[in-house]
Amino acid sequence: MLLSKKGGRSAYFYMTDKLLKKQFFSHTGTIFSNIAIGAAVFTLAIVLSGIISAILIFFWYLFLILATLFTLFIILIYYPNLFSSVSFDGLNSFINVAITTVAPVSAGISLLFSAVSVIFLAMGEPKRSKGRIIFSSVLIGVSAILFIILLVGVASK
Amino acid sequence: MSKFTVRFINNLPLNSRVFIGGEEAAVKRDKSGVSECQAEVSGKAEVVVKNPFEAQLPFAKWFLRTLFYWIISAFGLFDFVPNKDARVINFAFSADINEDSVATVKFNRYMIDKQAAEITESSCETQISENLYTVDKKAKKRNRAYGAIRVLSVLAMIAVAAVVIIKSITG
Repeated sequence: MLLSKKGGRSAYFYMTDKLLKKQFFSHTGTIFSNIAIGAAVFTLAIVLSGIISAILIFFWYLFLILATLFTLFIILIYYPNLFSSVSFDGLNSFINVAITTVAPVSAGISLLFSAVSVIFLAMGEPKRSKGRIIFSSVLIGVSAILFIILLVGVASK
Repeated sequence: MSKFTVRFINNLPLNSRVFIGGEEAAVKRDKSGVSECQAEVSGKAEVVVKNPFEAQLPFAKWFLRTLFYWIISAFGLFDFVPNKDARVINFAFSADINEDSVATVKFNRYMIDKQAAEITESSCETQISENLYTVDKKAKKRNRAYGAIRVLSVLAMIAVAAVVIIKSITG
Protein backbone atom coordinates (compact mmCIF):
# COMPACT_ATOMS: atom_id res chain seq x y z
CA MET A 1 0.00 0.00 0.00
CA LEU A 2 1.59 3.23 -1.15
CA LEU A 3 0.67 6.17 0.98
CA SER A 4 1.31 9.87 0.75
CA LYS A 5 4.58 11.33 2.05
CA LYS A 6 2.54 13.70 4.19
CA GLY A 7 0.77 12.73 7.35
CA GLY A 8 3.62 10.90 9.14
CA ARG A 9 5.65 12.35 11.97
CA SER A 10 8.86 14.10 11.00
CA ALA A 11 12.19 12.39 11.57
CA TYR A 12 13.01 14.98 14.23
CA PHE A 13 10.18 13.61 16.38
CA TYR A 14 12.20 10.41 16.78
CA MET A 15 15.46 12.19 17.55
CA THR A 16 15.37 11.86 21.29
CA ASP A 17 18.14 13.33 23.44
CA LYS A 18 19.53 9.83 23.86
CA LEU A 19 19.66 9.25 20.11
CA LEU A 20 21.19 12.69 19.48
CA LYS A 21 23.86 11.97 22.10
CA LYS A 22 24.62 8.59 20.51
CA GLN A 23 24.90 10.15 17.06
CA PHE A 24 27.11 12.94 18.41
CA PHE A 25 29.52 10.54 20.11
CA SER A 26 29.59 8.22 17.10
CA HIS A 27 30.28 11.09 14.69
CA THR A 28 32.96 12.64 16.92
CA GLY A 29 34.53 9.23 17.52
CA THR A 30 34.67 8.56 13.80
CA ILE A 31 36.35 11.93 13.19
CA PHE A 32 38.96 11.16 15.86
CA SER A 33 39.43 7.72 14.34
CA ASN A 34 39.99 9.35 10.92
CA ILE A 35 42.58 11.70 12.45
CA ALA A 36 44.30 8.72 14.11
CA ILE A 37 44.40 6.83 10.79
CA GLY A 38 45.76 9.92 8.99
CA ALA A 39 48.49 10.40 11.62
CA ALA A 40 49.41 6.69 11.54
CA VAL A 41 49.66 6.72 7.73
CA PHE A 42 51.83 9.86 7.93
CA THR A 43 54.12 8.26 10.55
CA LEU A 44 54.42 5.04 8.55
CA ALA A 45 55.16 7.07 5.41
CA ILE A 46 58.05 8.83 7.17
CA VAL A 47 59.43 5.59 8.62
CA LEU A 48 59.04 3.82 5.27
CA SER A 49 60.70 6.70 3.43
CA GLY A 50 63.72 6.16 5.70
CA ILE A 51 63.76 2.46 4.86
CA ILE A 52 63.17 3.10 1.14
CA SER A 53 65.95 5.70 1.01
CA ALA A 54 68.31 3.20 2.66
CA ILE A 55 67.35 0.61 0.02
CA LEU A 56 67.78 3.26 -2.70
CA ILE A 57 71.25 4.12 -1.45
CA PHE A 58 72.16 0.42 -1.29
CA PHE A 59 71.05 -0.07 -4.89
CA TRP A 60 72.92 3.05 -5.97
CA TYR A 61 76.19 1.70 -4.58
CA LEU A 62 75.45 -1.71 -6.08
CA PHE A 63 74.96 0.01 -9.43
CA LEU A 64 78.25 1.85 -8.98
CA ILE A 65 80.10 -1.40 -8.32
CA LEU A 66 78.50 -3.12 -11.29
CA ALA A 67 79.05 -0.12 -13.59
CA THR A 68 82.66 -0.02 -12.54
CA LEU A 69 83.10 -3.70 -13.20
CA PHE A 70 81.25 -3.69 -16.53
CA THR A 71 82.89 -0.67 -17.99
CA LEU A 72 86.27 -1.88 -16.75
CA PHE A 73 87.08 1.59 -15.57
CA ILE A 74 87.00 2.93 -19.14
CA ILE A 75 84.48 5.66 -18.46
CA LEU A 76 86.04 6.50 -15.13
CA ILE A 77 89.41 6.90 -16.75
CA TYR A 78 88.00 9.58 -19.03
CA TYR A 79 85.56 11.08 -16.48
CA PRO A 80 87.04 10.50 -13.03
CA ASN A 81 84.47 12.81 -11.32
CA LEU A 82 81.43 11.21 -12.97
CA PHE A 83 79.65 10.11 -9.77
CA SER A 84 80.96 12.71 -7.37
CA SER A 85 78.05 15.04 -8.09
CA VAL A 86 75.56 12.48 -6.74
CA SER A 87 75.03 12.93 -3.04
CA PHE A 88 72.40 11.63 -0.62
CA ASP A 89 73.38 13.98 2.19
CA GLY A 90 70.40 16.30 1.66
CA LEU A 91 67.88 13.46 1.44
CA ASN A 92 69.39 11.71 4.45
CA SER A 93 69.37 14.78 6.64
CA PHE A 94 65.78 15.59 5.60
CA ILE A 95 64.58 12.06 6.45
CA ASN A 96 66.59 12.06 9.69
CA VAL A 97 64.97 15.31 10.80
CA ALA A 98 61.53 13.92 9.84
CA ILE A 99 62.10 10.67 11.74
CA THR A 100 63.51 12.30 14.86
CA THR A 101 61.17 15.29 15.14
CA VAL A 102 57.96 14.83 13.11
CA ALA A 103 57.36 11.06 13.25
CA PRO A 104 57.25 10.72 17.09
CA VAL A 105 54.74 13.59 17.26
CA SER A 106 52.49 12.11 14.57
CA ALA A 107 52.75 8.66 16.18
CA GLY A 108 51.75 10.25 19.49
CA ILE A 109 48.81 12.01 17.81
CA SER A 110 47.72 8.73 16.24
CA LEU A 111 47.96 6.95 19.60
CA LEU A 112 46.05 9.65 21.45
CA PHE A 113 43.28 10.04 18.88
CA SER A 114 42.79 6.31 18.39
CA ALA A 115 42.38 5.89 22.16
CA VAL A 116 39.95 8.83 22.36
CA SER A 117 38.03 7.57 19.31
CA VAL A 118 37.53 4.14 20.93
CA ILE A 119 36.09 5.84 24.03
CA PHE A 120 33.77 8.07 21.97
CA LEU A 121 32.63 5.24 19.70
CA ALA A 122 31.91 3.07 22.73
CA MET A 123 29.88 5.92 24.25
CA GLY A 124 27.96 6.35 20.99
CA GLU A 125 26.68 3.28 19.21
CA PRO A 126 29.16 0.45 19.80
CA LYS A 127 27.03 -2.11 17.94
CA ARG A 128 26.93 -0.01 14.79
CA SER A 129 30.61 0.97 15.01
CA LYS A 130 32.00 -2.48 15.82
CA GLY A 131 34.40 -2.53 12.85
CA ARG A 132 35.70 0.97 13.54
CA ILE A 133 36.24 0.16 17.25
CA ILE A 134 38.22 -3.00 16.39
CA PHE A 135 40.28 -1.08 13.80
CA SER A 136 41.00 1.77 16.24
CA SER A 137 41.97 -0.73 18.94
CA VAL A 138 44.47 -2.36 16.56
CA LEU A 139 45.70 1.13 15.65
CA ILE A 140 46.35 1.87 19.35
CA GLY A 141 48.76 -1.09 19.40
CA VAL A 142 50.43 -0.18 16.10
CA SER A 143 50.80 3.50 17.10
CA ALA A 144 52.11 2.58 20.55
CA ILE A 145 54.77 0.29 19.04
CA LEU A 146 55.77 2.96 16.49
CA PHE A 147 55.81 5.65 19.20
CA ILE A 148 58.05 3.58 21.51
CA ILE A 149 60.43 2.59 18.68
CA LEU A 150 60.74 6.21 17.51
CA LEU A 151 61.24 7.51 21.07
CA VAL A 152 63.93 4.91 21.75
CA GLY A 153 65.55 5.86 18.43
CA VAL A 154 65.52 9.56 19.33
CA ALA A 155 66.81 8.90 22.88
CA SER A 156 69.69 6.76 21.64
CA LYS A 157 70.97 9.52 19.33
CA MET B 1 0.80 -6.88 28.43
CA SER B 2 1.56 -9.08 25.44
CA LYS B 3 4.80 -9.76 23.66
CA PHE B 4 4.92 -8.31 20.16
CA THR B 5 7.71 -9.53 17.88
CA VAL B 6 8.54 -7.86 14.59
CA ARG B 7 10.73 -9.85 12.20
CA PHE B 8 12.59 -8.21 9.36
CA ILE B 9 13.56 -10.06 6.22
CA ASN B 10 16.50 -8.40 4.37
CA ASN B 11 18.75 -5.93 6.14
CA LEU B 12 17.26 -2.84 7.68
CA PRO B 13 17.80 -0.33 4.88
CA LEU B 14 19.56 3.04 5.12
CA ASN B 15 20.92 2.40 8.62
CA SER B 16 17.39 2.77 9.92
CA ARG B 17 16.02 2.32 13.43
CA VAL B 18 12.86 0.72 14.71
CA PHE B 19 10.58 2.51 17.13
CA ILE B 20 7.75 0.70 18.88
CA GLY B 21 5.38 2.97 20.77
CA GLY B 22 7.76 5.91 20.29
CA GLU B 23 10.70 4.10 21.95
CA GLU B 24 13.64 2.79 20.00
CA ALA B 25 13.65 -1.00 20.01
CA ALA B 26 16.83 -3.07 20.01
CA VAL B 27 17.10 -5.08 16.82
CA LYS B 28 18.84 -8.43 17.08
CA ARG B 29 20.02 -10.38 14.08
CA ASP B 30 20.23 -14.16 14.06
CA LYS B 31 22.62 -16.33 12.06
CA SER B 32 20.16 -16.81 9.22
CA GLY B 33 20.21 -13.06 8.57
CA VAL B 34 16.71 -12.39 9.91
CA SER B 35 16.50 -9.49 12.34
CA GLU B 36 13.87 -9.13 14.99
CA CYS B 37 12.82 -6.88 17.79
CA GLN B 38 10.43 -7.37 20.64
CA ALA B 39 8.33 -5.16 22.85
CA GLU B 40 5.79 -5.56 25.61
CA VAL B 41 2.60 -3.99 24.31
CA SER B 42 -1.00 -3.74 25.38
CA GLY B 43 -3.71 -2.82 22.87
CA LYS B 44 -2.48 -0.95 19.85
CA ALA B 45 1.21 -0.92 18.92
CA GLU B 46 2.68 1.62 16.54
CA VAL B 47 5.79 0.39 14.73
CA VAL B 48 7.86 2.98 12.90
CA VAL B 49 11.00 2.41 10.81
CA LYS B 50 12.93 5.65 10.26
CA ASN B 51 16.50 6.68 9.64
CA PRO B 52 16.79 10.02 11.43
CA PHE B 53 20.12 11.71 10.67
CA GLU B 54 21.77 14.92 11.76
CA ALA B 55 21.05 16.96 8.63
CA GLN B 56 17.36 16.68 9.48
CA LEU B 57 17.78 18.62 12.72
CA PRO B 58 16.40 22.17 13.03
CA PHE B 59 18.79 24.61 11.36
CA ALA B 60 20.40 26.09 14.50
CA LYS B 61 21.12 22.67 16.04
CA TRP B 62 22.43 21.27 12.76
CA PHE B 63 24.60 24.35 12.18
CA LEU B 64 26.19 24.24 15.65
CA ARG B 65 26.89 20.53 15.41
CA THR B 66 28.34 20.83 11.91
CA LEU B 67 30.48 23.79 12.97
CA PHE B 68 31.85 21.73 15.86
CA TYR B 69 32.59 18.76 13.58
CA TRP B 70 34.21 21.08 11.02
CA ILE B 71 36.54 22.57 13.64
CA ILE B 72 37.61 19.32 15.34
CA SER B 73 38.12 17.56 12.02
CA ALA B 74 40.79 20.09 10.92
CA PHE B 75 38.35 22.19 8.87
CA GLY B 76 36.51 19.24 7.42
CA LEU B 77 39.60 17.31 6.28
CA PHE B 78 38.83 14.30 8.49
CA ASP B 79 35.05 14.68 8.60
CA PHE B 80 32.44 12.64 6.78
CA VAL B 81 28.81 13.22 5.93
CA PRO B 82 26.45 10.51 7.13
CA ASN B 83 23.72 9.75 4.59
CA LYS B 84 25.14 12.16 1.99
CA ASP B 85 22.27 11.66 -0.45
CA ALA B 86 19.71 12.22 2.33
CA ARG B 87 17.84 9.02 1.51
CA VAL B 88 14.87 8.51 3.76
CA ILE B 89 12.71 5.57 4.67
CA ASN B 90 9.20 6.16 5.95
CA PHE B 91 7.57 2.96 7.06
CA ALA B 92 5.00 2.72 9.80
CA PHE B 93 2.23 0.36 10.73
CA SER B 94 -0.06 -0.20 13.64
CA ALA B 95 -1.03 -3.55 15.09
CA ASP B 96 -3.81 -4.59 17.42
CA ILE B 97 -2.23 -6.77 20.06
CA ASN B 98 -4.40 -8.95 22.28
CA GLU B 99 -2.03 -11.85 22.76
CA ASP B 100 1.61 -12.64 21.92
CA SER B 101 1.92 -11.78 18.22
CA VAL B 102 4.44 -11.81 15.43
CA ALA B 103 4.59 -9.68 12.29
CA THR B 104 7.08 -10.20 9.47
CA VAL B 105 8.23 -7.26 7.38
CA LYS B 106 10.11 -7.58 4.12
CA PHE B 107 12.05 -4.54 2.94
CA ASN B 108 12.36 -3.65 -0.71
CA ARG B 109 15.39 -2.19 -2.45
CA TYR B 110 15.72 1.59 -2.19
CA MET B 111 14.01 3.36 -5.07
CA ILE B 112 12.84 6.93 -4.78
CA ASP B 113 9.08 7.27 -4.31
CA LYS B 114 8.61 3.51 -4.24
CA GLN B 115 7.16 1.27 -1.59
CA ALA B 116 9.66 0.64 1.22
CA ALA B 117 8.38 -2.63 2.61
CA GLU B 118 5.50 -5.04 2.90
CA ILE B 119 4.08 -7.09 5.72
CA THR B 120 4.36 -10.66 4.52
CA GLU B 121 3.00 -12.44 7.57
CA SER B 122 1.17 -11.38 10.66
CA SER B 123 -0.66 -13.08 13.47
CA CYS B 124 -2.49 -9.88 14.36
CA GLU B 125 -4.48 -7.16 12.65
CA THR B 126 -2.10 -4.65 11.01
CA GLN B 127 -2.55 -1.42 9.12
CA ILE B 128 0.20 0.36 7.20
CA SER B 129 0.15 4.13 7.60
CA GLU B 130 3.42 5.12 5.90
CA ASN B 131 5.34 3.21 3.28
CA LEU B 132 7.66 5.17 1.06
CA TYR B 133 11.31 5.70 0.15
CA THR B 134 12.04 9.38 -0.43
CA VAL B 135 14.81 11.97 -0.44
CA ASP B 136 14.91 14.74 2.15
CA LYS B 137 15.63 17.64 -0.19
CA LYS B 138 16.39 20.12 2.58
CA ALA B 139 18.89 17.73 4.19
CA LYS B 140 20.45 17.00 0.82
CA LYS B 141 20.95 20.74 0.21
CA ARG B 142 22.60 21.07 3.63
CA ASN B 143 24.87 18.08 2.96
CA ARG B 144 25.88 19.53 -0.40
CA ALA B 145 26.58 22.95 1.09
CA TYR B 146 28.73 21.42 3.82
CA GLY B 147 30.50 19.25 1.24
CA ALA B 148 31.35 22.36 -0.80
CA ILE B 149 32.59 24.18 2.32
CA ARG B 150 34.79 21.19 3.19
CA VAL B 151 36.34 21.09 -0.29
CA LEU B 152 36.96 24.86 -0.25
CA SER B 153 38.49 24.80 3.23
CA VAL B 154 40.78 21.89 2.35
CA LEU B 155 41.91 23.76 -0.80
CA ALA B 156 42.50 26.88 1.30
CA MET B 157 44.56 24.83 3.79
CA ILE B 158 46.67 23.42 0.95
CA ALA B 159 47.22 26.94 -0.42
CA VAL B 160 48.24 28.27 3.01
CA ALA B 161 50.58 25.30 3.57
CA ALA B 162 52.15 25.86 0.14
CA VAL B 163 52.73 29.55 0.88
CA VAL B 164 54.27 28.76 4.30
CA ILE B 165 56.58 26.09 2.81
CA ILE B 166 57.66 28.33 -0.09
CA LYS B 167 58.33 31.24 2.31
CA SER B 168 60.34 29.04 4.68
CA ILE B 169 62.42 27.68 1.77
CA THR B 170 63.06 31.07 0.19
CA GLY B 171 63.79 32.57 3.60
